[in-house]
Amino acid sequence: MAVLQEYKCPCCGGAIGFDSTAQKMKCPYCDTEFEMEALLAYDADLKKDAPDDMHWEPASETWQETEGVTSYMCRSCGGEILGDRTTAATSCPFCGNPVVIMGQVSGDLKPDLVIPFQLDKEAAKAAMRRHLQGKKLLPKLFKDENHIDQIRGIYVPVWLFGADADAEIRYRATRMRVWSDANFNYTETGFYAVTRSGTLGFDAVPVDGSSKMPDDFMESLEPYDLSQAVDFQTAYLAGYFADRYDVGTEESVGRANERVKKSTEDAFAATVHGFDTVKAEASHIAVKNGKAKYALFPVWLLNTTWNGEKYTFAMNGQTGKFVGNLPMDRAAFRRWFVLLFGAGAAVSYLVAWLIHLL
Amino acid sequence: MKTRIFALLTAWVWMVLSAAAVSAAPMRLADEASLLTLAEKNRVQKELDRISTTWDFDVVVVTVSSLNGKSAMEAADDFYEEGGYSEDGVLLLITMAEREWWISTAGSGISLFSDRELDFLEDCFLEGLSDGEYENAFLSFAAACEEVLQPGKTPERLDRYGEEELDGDWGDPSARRTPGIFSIVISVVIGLVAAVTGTGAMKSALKSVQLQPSAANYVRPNSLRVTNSREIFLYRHLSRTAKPKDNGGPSGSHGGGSVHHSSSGSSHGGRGGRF
Repeated sequence: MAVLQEYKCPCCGGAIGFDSTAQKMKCPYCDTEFEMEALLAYDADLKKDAPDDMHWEPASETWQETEGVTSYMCRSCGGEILGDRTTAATSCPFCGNPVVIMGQVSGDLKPDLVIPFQLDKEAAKAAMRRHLQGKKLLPKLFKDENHIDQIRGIYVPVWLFGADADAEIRYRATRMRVWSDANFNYTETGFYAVTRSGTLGFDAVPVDGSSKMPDDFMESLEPYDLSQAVDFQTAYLAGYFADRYDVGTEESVGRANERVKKSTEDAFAATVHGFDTVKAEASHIAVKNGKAKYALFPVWLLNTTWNGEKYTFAMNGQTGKFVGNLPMDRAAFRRWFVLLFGAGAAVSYLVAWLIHLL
Repeated sequence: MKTRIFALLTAWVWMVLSAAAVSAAPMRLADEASLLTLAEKNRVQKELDRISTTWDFDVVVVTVSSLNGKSAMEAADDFYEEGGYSEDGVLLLITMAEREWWISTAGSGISLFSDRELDFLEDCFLEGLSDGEYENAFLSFAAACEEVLQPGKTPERLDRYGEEELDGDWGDPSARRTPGIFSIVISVVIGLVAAVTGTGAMKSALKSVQLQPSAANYVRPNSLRVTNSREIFLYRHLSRTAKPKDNGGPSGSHGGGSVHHSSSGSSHGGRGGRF
């Protein structure tokens, strides 16, 4: 049963959304701001109203799912809102009112935490402009000709894994000694088996829970500051897009384990001192007290087109970290290669001359 | 009358100038042990002067009958310093009583004539010296010096020491008269490195999307507990390599080619031996 949640301004009745600057709900029509605490109560009241809504809007008429596409009916204008089976928050294409699909963020699908957006759309556009600056191999025309097709603030579902890693790692280490007598130089290499066991704790290792959002994008946007995370409230989603997770903990934990294993090996290798070389030979890492939390992380996603190709950029909606691969100008690459080669060779030849003259 | 005065004046000026020139030019051959005939002396002297002026680098030969208690090295260094030669140069001293020789280098000669070049010189003149063919030995010494002084050129006879010794104790190539092929190769390599690292950095600036290898950001602070740490010695591997030996030359023993200081405090390089 999908119930759409819209937040209406109690003052003027306009649709309201979360304002990242004020960190409050704000009505774009009458500029009234509402505390999140007030909305919590408001949220609860709205839920009480829900049975009534269900009563006069039978399920079969409100939503139907065909081939992964779900359509909802906007409760403000009656227009049809299309979403896929993971859409949790979107806006009505007809009246623009933000809607939250309650069924996607309640029950088992209810996130534990959410990091609210701290930066707005303008900040994302400014970050995009900064991202294009100072890139010497970026095609000149890209800056002028690329246009932002779409810019969306999205809450991306993320699993946060916390665990204690029990590690037993064996390293092969060597220590060298060099000396000489009248006739020979001697090199003695001592080989050692170094073992380290112990534990290392990890908190909230994030793994992307959405199949639509590429994992490398989410990992590039790290780190998020979890101290600013708050308990989930649907009101935070108003005005943004949101997806619910479609990659479960079972599938996601593998990626968290890879990163935990690497970090554990690195951390214990740093405790091996006094050797010339240290190489991990075998490691056994067991994860204990594993916990997974479900969180929503804010991401500004920008899609642009240039020369018929699509480019995607993303900005951390909390810290402003901006990522996105850019095209390379091959002619500029060749030019710079020749220029640097010529300059490097000429300068070093000049230095050779100067040394010679002195 | 006028022409006569003018001619006399010209002759006088010419005489003064040539006398000054003669007194200014230091003697590059000092045959105190009288090993050469007058004709031989002239030929050697001419050759030494020619090479010295061409390359702006004094090439000097000195023969003495005895060292009078000095070492060959001290005698050669002192002779070079007191002879009024230019800052850069090379001097070959031989002493008949002790039958010793010493090559002393000064200024840019110290770096120009490293062990390899000294090997080469020794190779060229020592045989003649041992056989008593002094003129031949001195001319060979002069010719060998000129070959070392050639800009950017590896003396042909140095080449036969083989490839593996090329990166050995070569004389400082930048000390040659002009930066040679070696400098060009190094410059090209530096240029390539600059181009590859420079464009590599520019290229990597375009790429900002990648997976994070570790979870180091999410390690709980102070949670690292090492419960067991052991280091077991497994085995030892000993390897030894023979130290490179001096390849002696026909004279047998000779001194080192390292830099030392003369009694007056200035630096000299060189080596010596017996003949």
